[in-house]
This record gives sequence, C-alpha cells and structure tokens, in this order.
Amino acid sequence: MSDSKDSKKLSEERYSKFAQGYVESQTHAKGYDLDQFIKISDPQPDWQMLDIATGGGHTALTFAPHVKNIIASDLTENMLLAAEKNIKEKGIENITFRQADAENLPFDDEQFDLVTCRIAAHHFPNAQKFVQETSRVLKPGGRFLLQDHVLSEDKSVADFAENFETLRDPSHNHAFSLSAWTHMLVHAGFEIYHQEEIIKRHPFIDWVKRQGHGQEVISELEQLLDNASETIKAWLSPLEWGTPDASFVNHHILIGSDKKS
Amino acid sequence: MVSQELLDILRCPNCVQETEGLLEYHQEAWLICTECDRKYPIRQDIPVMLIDEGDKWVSTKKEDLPIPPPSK
Repeated sequence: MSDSKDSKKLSEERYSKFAQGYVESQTHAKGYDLDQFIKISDPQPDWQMLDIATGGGHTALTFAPHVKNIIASDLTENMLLAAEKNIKEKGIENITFRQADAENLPFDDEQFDLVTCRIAAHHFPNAQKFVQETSRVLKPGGRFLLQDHVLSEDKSVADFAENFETLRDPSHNHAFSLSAWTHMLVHAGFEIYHQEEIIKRHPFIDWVKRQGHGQEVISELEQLLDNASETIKAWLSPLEWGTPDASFVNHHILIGSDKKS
Repeated sequence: MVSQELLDILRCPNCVQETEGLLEYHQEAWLICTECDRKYPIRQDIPVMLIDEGDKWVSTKKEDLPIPPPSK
C-alpha cells in the first residue's frame, strides 16, 4: 500500500469513529468563518455547488438556502451518513451525498459554479492534485472557497505546529503556508480575489479529546509547548496552560479564488 | 433512488481525468464505467465513487453483481 493510500485509510478510519462528534462540534457548525464563506462567495440561486470533504455537513447546510443544488462529498461513509441524518432532520432537500476522494473527483468537467472545502485539506496527501481537480470540475469563472490551517512562513514555527497537530490527529497530513497555497492555486488556473487569516482559540482539552485521546496525549502536548521557543508560543498563544481551562489558537486561511474564464 | 439529473454529471473517478468516464446505471444499485469496467456500488442512496471500491468489482460480471450491494 502506498503512503497516500495509507494516509487516506487512516483519515477514513479516524473520522468513521469520530463522525458524530464533528456533526455536533460548535467549532465546525457555527462562527465567523461560515458567515464569511457566504459573504465572499456571493452565492446565486441557480448555482450548482460541490462541498468537498463535507465532514459534519456544516458548510453545505449553511449554503443550502442560497444555491440550487449541493453535492456534499467525503471520503468517509460514516461521516456522510452522520451528515445526511443531520441534514434530513432539518428538512433540507437540496443536498445530496457522494462518497468521493478529493484528489479523484467523480464528476464531469465544468459542472459547478462553486466549490467549497472547509478545514479538511490538511488531510489530503496530494493538495496540488486536489486543487487541479477542483479546477477541472468548476465552470470557467467558477468560484473556489478554501479554508484550512495555515502554517507560519517561519519554518521552525511551521514544523512545530505540524508536529503538534499530528500528535493529536495522526491523519493530519500537511498544512501549507499562504505562499504555498497561492502557488498551487495560481498553477491550477485560479485568480485569488480574497484572502484573510482567521485565528481560532480552542479549549485545549476538548480539542484533544475530540480525537479520542486521554491524559497521556494531553500531557505530551502540554510538555511540548512548555519547552517551545518564544516565537512558537507567540504563534500558538497558550492561555492558562497546564490547567483544565487551557486554550491555544490555531491559524486558518480563508481564500476566495475564481477559475480564469 | 438517486436523481437522474445528479447522476448525469457523475463519472468514473479513474477515467474522467483522461477520457469521458461515462457510467451505466445498473438496477438502481450500481454505476459501471463503460471504459474501465470498474463498478461502483450505491449504498443507502450514496454512490461510493472511490477508485479502490470500483477495483474490487472490476472482474465481477455485471449479471453477478449483488443487488443490493453488500454493506462495507
């Protein structure tokens, strides 16, 4: 089995296990960033939309009143079933589900007006291929909204943040800096029209437990950050570290881009 | 039952990047690639459009495909 297959399998296994937690997660269900998604994409009532790696279905659910149809895809069957249940319970009828791999999308070329992918691309083994595939399925002039963890351009800070994330979620594959995302998007024929950094503060203990860990991983992560450089601490900005109320921030990037006509 | 309009845009994820990857809708339970013969099950109304899944059924004859497809 190749590394890429191993990595996808790991994502599928972990998110099968934690699916309901992601449906219920308030971090994923609400917030400034979802409001921003609507605002900067300016969705139209005749649009066909694809939400890649839909997870708990929160992005699809937010867009449902604003577009014609949404296909929500995910690699993980249990995640899709949990999202579908959540959406059906809310009486939404314009969202359908497909089990699909972000790097090999099962759609004809130039089908969608909008593609979204929110807080998931760090799981993908080949992000450039995902961006290329997104470009392929978008209509000319179609819009792509991406939100994901973003790394510092400072390599030592970036390496630490990657290690910190991977200890908690071994299916975390690779986050990128803004300059790396820009390069990938431009290479795939996109023009960036919006970019902003979103800083999210997480209750540390909840964040670790959502991935099924106990005290051992909590202690390991606590110690790791205790011993980190001041530059790293400035990036992760821990508060009340070592207490049950500990929190820290992670940095996301939200990029709006259009496929060149 | 999967809507026809949404089925129309589905393609074989293995073939669509190079060719057409057109799919045949079989017994409302399978999508069969007309080029590579990979067969993708529809489970609980969700088409499983993963290349690995299609691989598993590539040598199964169309008439031998279980209806409904077995759960994973």
